[in-house]
Amino acid sequence: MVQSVHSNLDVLLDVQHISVVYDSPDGEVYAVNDVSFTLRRGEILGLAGESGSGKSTLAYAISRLLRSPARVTGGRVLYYPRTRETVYSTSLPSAGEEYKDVLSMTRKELRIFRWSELAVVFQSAMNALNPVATIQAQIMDVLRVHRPGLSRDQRHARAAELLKLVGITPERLKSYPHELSGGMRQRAVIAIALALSPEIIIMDEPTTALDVVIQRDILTEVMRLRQQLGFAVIFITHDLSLLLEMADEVIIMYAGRMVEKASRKALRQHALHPYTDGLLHTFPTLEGPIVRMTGIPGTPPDLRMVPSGCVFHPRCKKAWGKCSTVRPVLLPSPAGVGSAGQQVACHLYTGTGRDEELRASEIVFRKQGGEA
Amino acid sequence: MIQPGQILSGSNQGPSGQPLLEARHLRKDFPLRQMNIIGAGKVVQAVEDLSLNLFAGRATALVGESGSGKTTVARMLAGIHIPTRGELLFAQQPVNVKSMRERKKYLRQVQYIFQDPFSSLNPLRSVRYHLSRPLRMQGHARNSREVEAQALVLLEKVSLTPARQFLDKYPHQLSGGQRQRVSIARALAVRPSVLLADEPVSMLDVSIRLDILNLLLKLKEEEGLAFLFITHDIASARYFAEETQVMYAGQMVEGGPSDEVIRRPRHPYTRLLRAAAPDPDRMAQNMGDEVTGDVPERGEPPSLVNPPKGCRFHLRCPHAMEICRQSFPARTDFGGGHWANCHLYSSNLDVQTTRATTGG
Amino acid sequence: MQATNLTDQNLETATFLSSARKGGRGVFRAIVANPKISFGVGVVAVFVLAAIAAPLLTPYDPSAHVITTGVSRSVPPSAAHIFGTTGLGQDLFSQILYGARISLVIGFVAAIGSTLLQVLMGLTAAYFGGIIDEILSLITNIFLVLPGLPLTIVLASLAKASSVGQNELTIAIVLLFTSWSYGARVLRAQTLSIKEREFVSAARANGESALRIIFVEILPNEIALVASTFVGTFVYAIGAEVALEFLGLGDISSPSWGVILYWAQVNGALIVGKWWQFVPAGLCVAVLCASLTFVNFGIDELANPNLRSERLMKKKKKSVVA
Repeated sequence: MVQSVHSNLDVLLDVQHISVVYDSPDGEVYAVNDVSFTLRRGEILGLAGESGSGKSTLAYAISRLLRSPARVTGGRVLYYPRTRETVYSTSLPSAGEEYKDVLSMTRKELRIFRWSELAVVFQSAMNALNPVATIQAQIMDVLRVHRPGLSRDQRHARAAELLKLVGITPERLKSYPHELSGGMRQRAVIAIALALSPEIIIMDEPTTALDVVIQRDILTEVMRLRQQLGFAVIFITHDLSLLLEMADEVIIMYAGRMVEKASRKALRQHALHPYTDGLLHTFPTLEGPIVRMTGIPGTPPDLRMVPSGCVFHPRCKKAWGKCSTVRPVLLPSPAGVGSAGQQVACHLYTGTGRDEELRASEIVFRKQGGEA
Repeated sequence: MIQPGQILSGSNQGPSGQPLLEARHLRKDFPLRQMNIIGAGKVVQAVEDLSLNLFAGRATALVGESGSGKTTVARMLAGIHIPTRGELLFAQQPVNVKSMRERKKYLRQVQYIFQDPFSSLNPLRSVRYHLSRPLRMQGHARNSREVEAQALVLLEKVSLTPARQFLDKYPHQLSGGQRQRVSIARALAVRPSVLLADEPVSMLDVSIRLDILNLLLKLKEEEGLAFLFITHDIASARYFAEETQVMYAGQMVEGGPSDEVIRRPRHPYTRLLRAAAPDPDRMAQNMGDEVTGDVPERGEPPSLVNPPKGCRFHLRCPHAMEICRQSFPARTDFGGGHWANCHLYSSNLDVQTTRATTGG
Repeated sequence: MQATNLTDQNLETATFLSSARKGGRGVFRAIVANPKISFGVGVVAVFVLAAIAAPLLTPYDPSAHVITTGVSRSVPPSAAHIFGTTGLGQDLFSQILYGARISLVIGFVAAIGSTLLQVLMGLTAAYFGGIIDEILSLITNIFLVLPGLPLTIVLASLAKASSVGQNELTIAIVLLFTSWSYGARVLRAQTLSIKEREFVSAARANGESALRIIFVEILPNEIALVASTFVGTFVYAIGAEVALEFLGLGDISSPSWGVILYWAQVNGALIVGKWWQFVPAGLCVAVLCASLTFVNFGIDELANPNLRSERLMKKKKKSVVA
């Protein structure tokens, strides 16, 4: 789970054992439960899951965008910046430090971190854009706040450059958001996200509200920009088929927990977790015989009353004995099964003896503060 | 009962019998609210010339992006909009939607399922209320006991079980998929023979979409309902509907058996849709490559206030010719019910050469 | 899909209304559960009860000249006169109690009438659109643009000059007509947005009548707004009524709070230090209006669950620390 990262210079973000809790009148509800993963430079990491899987909450936790009553309980988010010799160099971290825990950054550090290092593209561009300000004003505003050294002309030039980058003609700088089409608006939001050349861009369902042709456009655009600028992407979506086409690594989340992590090739060839396998078979095909498909029976659990043992077991076709009592831990797939680097949390793949089982579940039990 | 894995037949068979609902050359213009001292006001030419037929126990999919006019078509068929031109026939009898009486009679047979599960139910009313209104208004139930009995039956039909538990729930206590089922149950309460489903699953999670599609399949087979299925997802059109018609910017561009149209699209726009659709089987390829070389890079549907003349796709079409700018193409039949409106296939062009450019 | 704020509001209203279905007890519990509403309603209830029970609580007639001798007829508070007496020797406590009736009645009538007018104008304009909307909006906008306070003063003095009536009802109606337009615009805006929701289209497709759709389907979704506008108008009406009477435009022989203040000013009570002539009356106005505003805050909390959970969280943290 937690690899030794110091030897791996490629790591950009090391998320360790993040949990997010919502305080509700019914008690604490775990929206995200003990999630760990690493994000490498320039990697596209997909976070897939249904509504309520915790994928968006996780992304907001990492960027410290959560609002009460949600709060992060435990875990670290280690950010490994690289000093850059561009006009836009940052002062993170101070000399001698290799990484910084995002969750314990001071307000000042957070301000530098946000948008220069990490930017967010939200689902609905109309919500993210200020309806009463022109696109130009919004981009230049970002630059004014984060790059005070730039002159007005320089900011203007950068704004035009950014729009060109995402494929919008610079004449559109003076347009208001409502004057742009849906696809253009989303591209404008991406342009704003790229304003400070961040290392990480979090995209939360960026194309869900868009038509399939525009969606394809935007995704191609993102891939091209990634190629050109080298940033990493955390792509959140409920549409696994998109990730299977563009993500380097995919994490499947269910009820706040990671159930599988694999490269897209591995996922397609051998999805190990029954949930992933079920998800993959909910897409009607474009070729081949038209066959009646069954989805995954049942619905995701109410997070206030999570099933005991494996959270997925009530809906799982392959559930057996201990699935209802012992919670599976996310582990690398056993040798000979799956690809290298593939991880899965499922009892089908843990050939541990009884004692090890008990010990493993005990560790998990304690980690969650005794909540069974 | 269809079993999982069973091949769904019907896409190659033609419909039997007469169409239940016929739309002939429907046109819809929306006037823009403007102060005009002289001359006519501007209009949005939402739908230019649409014809389609719905048969009992069969589904016709209407595929297109937003702005294609597909929702307007559904609303015309549902009596929500009055067509500017064209006629509507139910069971071979013309329907005058302007007449209140005829409209009421028509709506007993044709029901509309909305797209947004979050706004199609009144948040302050229980499931029981939502079902009781149509039951009472259509006279199927006269008192609360009858309402309850029939509501339970309806909930069973849409697989919301145990039905009794759902009767007194409020929308905010239901998931998106469950709300959509209540919407469907509400439409069924009227005992219609035609259901117009406007993107019934696009606002649901992908894993739930299949459940709802399977429910609609069950209703199609077991109740013999005729369906109009509006979607921008061609894969689900292929899964659910026997027949598919493609619209672009208010114009019909292609139509025919779903499998044919989707696997062997002829019209450049349909080919664009096919290429743009997420294809889980197209894994190995890089996203940066275009699947077919003749798919346009970028572009969006035109404004319908002053739509382009002729074929409205010509501005984005890689094969656009002079004639495309001037006139809307006549229909070309490819056999088996598959047709397209495209000058590429017009009679004066060699059909052989065009076959070379049609790919998967 | 993110739930919009409106949906949050409706969720809470739904929970509230579903508790109402369980009968008065459910509503009662919902109201009591919210401290702001219960505090506000409690204080208002005290005023209402005091106003109703006025004859029981004081032996004096508010307009009777109780003190007729002495250097000044205005005596400070004592056991016999809890709030002292006015310059004319009238018992202030009685005046306050009977005055409460006037303020409450005017406030209530103005608020009810204004709210009814708002609902009628706002919802109808938004639902029907077209020419009906144009006409109703025109009327609304005209009333909106008219300067409220000067118009109220003018109308009140006209009413006083002619003998249309110097009674409270006139003032209430004047206030009604100058306060409804703002709320009507707000309701129209919200109705326009709710009208687009698909359950309204579904009701229409089902053949429901427009009247039913407006009042049975749409209006309940706006209850929070209507309720808070009602309370807001109540506050405005009380304040405006007191202001009008203070200016001498009301019936200066009636015992209402504003008139008490009018006489206090005429008699120069502040200068001569006879604080009891205006402090109790002023305090009553302030406390009544404040408690009504508390009710509004409570309604806000009902409509916006975020505010409520923040308050619950603070409470929880305190209990954990303790």
